[in-house]
Amino acid sequence: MTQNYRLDNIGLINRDKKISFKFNGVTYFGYEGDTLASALLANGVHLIGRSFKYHRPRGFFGAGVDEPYAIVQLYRNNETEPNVKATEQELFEGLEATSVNCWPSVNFDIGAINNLLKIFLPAGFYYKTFMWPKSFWYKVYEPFIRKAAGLGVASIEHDKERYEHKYEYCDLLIAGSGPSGLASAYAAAKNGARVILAEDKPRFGGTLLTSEVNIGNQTGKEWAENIISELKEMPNVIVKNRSQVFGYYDHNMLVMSEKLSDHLPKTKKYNPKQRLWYIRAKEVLISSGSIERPLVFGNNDTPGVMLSSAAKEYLKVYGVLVGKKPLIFTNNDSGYETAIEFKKNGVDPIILDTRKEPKSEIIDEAKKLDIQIKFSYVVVAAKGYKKVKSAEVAKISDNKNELGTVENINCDCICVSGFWTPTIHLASQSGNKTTFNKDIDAFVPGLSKQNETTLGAANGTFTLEETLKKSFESGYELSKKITNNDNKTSSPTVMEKKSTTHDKFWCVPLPKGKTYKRFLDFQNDVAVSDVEIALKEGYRSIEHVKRYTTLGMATDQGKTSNLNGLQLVSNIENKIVPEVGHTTFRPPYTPVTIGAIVGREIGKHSKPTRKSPMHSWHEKNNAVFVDAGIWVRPRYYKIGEETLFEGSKREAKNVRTNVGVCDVTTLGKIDIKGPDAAELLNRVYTNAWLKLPIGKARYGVMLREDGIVMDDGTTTRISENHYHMTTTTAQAANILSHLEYYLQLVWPELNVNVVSTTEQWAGAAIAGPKSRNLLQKLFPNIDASNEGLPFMGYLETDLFGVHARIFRISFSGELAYEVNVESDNGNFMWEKIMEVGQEFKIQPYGTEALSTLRIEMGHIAGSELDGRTIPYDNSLEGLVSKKKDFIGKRSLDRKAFIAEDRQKVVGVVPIDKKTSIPEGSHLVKDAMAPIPNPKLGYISASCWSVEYDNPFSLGILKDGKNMIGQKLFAMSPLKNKTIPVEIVSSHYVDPKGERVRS
Amino acid sequence: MSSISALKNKHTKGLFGDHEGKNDNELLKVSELSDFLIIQIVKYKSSLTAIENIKIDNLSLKNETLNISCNANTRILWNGPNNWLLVSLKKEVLNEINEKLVEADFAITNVSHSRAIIQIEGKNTKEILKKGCPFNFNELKKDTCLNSTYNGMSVTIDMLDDNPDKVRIFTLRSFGESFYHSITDACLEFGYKGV
Repeated sequence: MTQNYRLDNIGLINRDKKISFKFNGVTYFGYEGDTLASALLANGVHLIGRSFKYHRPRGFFGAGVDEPYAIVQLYRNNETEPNVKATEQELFEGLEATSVNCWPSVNFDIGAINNLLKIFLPAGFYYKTFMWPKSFWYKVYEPFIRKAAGLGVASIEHDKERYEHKYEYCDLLIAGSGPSGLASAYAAAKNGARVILAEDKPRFGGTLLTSEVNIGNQTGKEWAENIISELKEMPNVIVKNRSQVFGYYDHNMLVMSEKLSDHLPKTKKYNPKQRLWYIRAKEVLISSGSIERPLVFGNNDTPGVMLSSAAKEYLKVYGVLVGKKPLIFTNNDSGYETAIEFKKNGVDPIILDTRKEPKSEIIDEAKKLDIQIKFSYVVVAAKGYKKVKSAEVAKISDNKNELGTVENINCDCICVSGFWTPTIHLASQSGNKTTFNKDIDAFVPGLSKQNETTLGAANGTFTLEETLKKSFESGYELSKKITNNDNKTSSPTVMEKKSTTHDKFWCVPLPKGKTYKRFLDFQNDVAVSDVEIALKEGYRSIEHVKRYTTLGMATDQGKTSNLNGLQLVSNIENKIVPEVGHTTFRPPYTPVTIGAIVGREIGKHSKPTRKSPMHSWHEKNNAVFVDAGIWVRPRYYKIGEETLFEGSKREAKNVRTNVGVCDVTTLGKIDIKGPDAAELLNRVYTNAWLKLPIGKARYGVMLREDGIVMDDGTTTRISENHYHMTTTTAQAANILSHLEYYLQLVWPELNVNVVSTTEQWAGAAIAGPKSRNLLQKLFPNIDASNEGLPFMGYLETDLFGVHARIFRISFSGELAYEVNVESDNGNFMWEKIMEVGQEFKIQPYGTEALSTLRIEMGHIAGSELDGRTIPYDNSLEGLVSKKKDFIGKRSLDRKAFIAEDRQKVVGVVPIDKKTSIPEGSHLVKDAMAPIPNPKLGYISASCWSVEYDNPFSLGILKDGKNMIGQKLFAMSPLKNKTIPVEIVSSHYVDPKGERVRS
Repeated sequence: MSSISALKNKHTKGLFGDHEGKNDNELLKVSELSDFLIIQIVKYKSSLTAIENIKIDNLSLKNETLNISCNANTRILWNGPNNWLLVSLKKEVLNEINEKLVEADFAITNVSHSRAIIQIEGKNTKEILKKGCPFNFNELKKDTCLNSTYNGMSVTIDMLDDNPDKVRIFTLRSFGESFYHSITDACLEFGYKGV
């Protein structure tokens, strides 16, 4: 296809490199440096999609981030991405894109029937219509709306691209590389500050690329290029293009999305597609410029209606004419600049100026060029469906309320300019209290809350000379504050055309008898009539109006619509705009991919895991793993086709009859040293610790200040002032923090050091009636008898030359020992235990068997210590000292905690001795009682007792002490089970604890 | 052999990532370090002992934020007020510690087996650190250290050199595998050599 709208002698594209691409299946050509939008416009394609609600034809409205509706589905390197703005997507060889929100095609869209029914689809239609009948929501309305809505389809394939994060610090972060950004960056960098300059577009310079200005005897473009070249060479400056600073958070932390490969056909292997920067800046300079404001008139969404500045950018940057019969509709001088560019490139524009007789340098220039100008004229409506064919225009009265005779003017595009809206998103996100500037009819940054300064057009300064002067000054002053250097860069001389004031007019009244849609929000199909309805229905807050009408929502975030919306509300409400206020500017300023937000934290990087030194052995021996917090632990060791139930039962049975070994490295270990170590333990545990002999361990329970059990475990006295504390796996980090907190803040007088040694020691629990025989063989030099190493005893020795610690403690309720060696020797220890243990029929056992063993012994664990129970509930009252003080003691005297019918841990056995009781089941007296059936308690843990070969559970039951022998029901609504049960002692096996002491 | 270091079964030697066409100086070098003596030294709050008079392996215990005392074999990292992490290739330093730092004044804890240690060397070293750790590495100089997190794992980072950059990163041993994957994955963009 020929590029009928491409000019030969203008633009910044690389005409030496031709690029082919496809849009809606048709092949076109563009050039390196084009955007998808500019390339399509060069090929005369204006129809790019359909609107969100009414499915009206949509074209291009802006030329960059301001674009509300030129959104496409992109295909690149066998992957697809929705919600891509054609005005931002750079062209690359092989690019493919399709229209969104249309079926079967953008030219013939069935959904366009909505446009015919628009009278029935006003604001609030969805809220009112889809309320009834209620049953329709899930089956009819939601599926239909989901199918109809959206701006593209997210891929369901795995995204193979890489995304990176980066944390960076700087003295000054400068968002935007227009004149203010370049000037402030240059001044600050020359003064020694560490500067990051971010530009969202591929080219630096902003409006300098399209403005007819002279800076220090150079064109704006030349000046920008020279400044950028110099900045890039400076070691204290990071210059980034294709990088959007999209969020401003507390403590001057900003987030920037850098697109590294989106403009390439394929991302280089191992390189990221995008990088998300977390930047902490001492000072932030916002030079994000301004966005041209639309004028509102009938059918102002027709393809071919676009911002005047966008038309100029397509012309000067891409060498593309957006039309050959342009109509410029303006209320200020900016429209004249576009008209002059058209004229200079051989196209005759017509200017409609809402002002009566404005006088300025640029208007004079337009007159000299014989450009036809109609003052006090407006566009009443655009004519044409898929492309502007003509415009209805009329003279407007001085009070802007009356239209004259409507005339028709042939045109193929309407370039609108309703003056400029400063881009204050970042400033507002920073907490800046914005103020309304009546001179420019827009909000500008006010009082800064953080170290933020807004410059140039973003601050409502629209002359280049003033912008450069202030920006050079700010760059210097802010850098001086940080670096204490005093190298000042002076502002260059500037020549620019002077403008006159704009007209505050923004919305063309409807001619009598006409019902044209006059759109405010082009992305969400919100028209003037929608806002009028919202106000009629009683919505007053601008936030409510926004949500009722969807004005300013979604990916566009009201870039071109917010201010006109505010103007309309203020007009109807007879208020001034600042009284109406503006909606909250929330990050992100532009859409950011989920990939960039997630970064590398996918797959195995999604969360770190912790593994014991014996993990490789477990893997080689068919361990089936389970996540225990972030630890990965063997759940059971599978033999053949064993299920979890079969395998864990086998392992538990072997512990009860022979000997088993379990990896207990994950248990928290805390080394406690210091002259006041015993005193610390005495204060944090409920029982007494001052007289624990050296070489002995003791079981202890810690409470929170509210009396709830926090954790339990054993602590061993290694030497006079040295203790080894163990915690549950889950609570290890919390307990260390708990101890640190008390030592640093509550008891600073105690001389104690606590440090985690969980990683220092690999641990193996050897449990079962044959464990002593095994221990003796492993450690022939020790006396492993009950006298030599009694229950709760401790000794240090060596395991085949490796230093080892032995603790005689038991979680399984069997005769058991825990052996610790330094972690590098963990695997060696494990292999030795397995090797020597063969004689005693040793088998490794995992967490499932471990759970079975502790449940049938009535040993409490995490499911009983669930943040709701006190020592009494867990039959631990014997461990609560009446004499000494400890954390949580006073709370135990609370009325509810000393109630006679207080809940207590009990054993629960199904009457039929066959049916397993689901964990979480409710214990009730009457299975047939009406709902809500009074709950007496719940099942905390369940297992298959290998001792008695029947199901057994632990429960927490109200008045549990007096309920032994009672018959109740365990009800599980989730599993739809009601099981008759009997309440028994929680110590189902070896109630006297003889085995552990044997 | 009874001893197996934290990354023994994970660390792989060779060239990885975007290494083609790059010379040795452009590549990052990643290695596992092991067999160090690592001792946490803490002076008790009420101790009146003057640390200025104490030398361990001829190095003093500096109470200066992020600072390191070091010689060819031993590095004493500031870990907090009156809190240090001694890292040494000389195991016998432990005897000297036990001799000079008395139990009444100091808590000495051997944590030699509790860390996985990765060393990264090369001009892009800080770029790797910046990918996962929120610290300001622009200000990390030679012979300084810090405690922070890297992709959710707690780390101690020791800046050994700055020409080219060379760091030792200590993480908890159990995180070793995840940490190794995280670091080497971050290195792929620049190309690295497992040594």
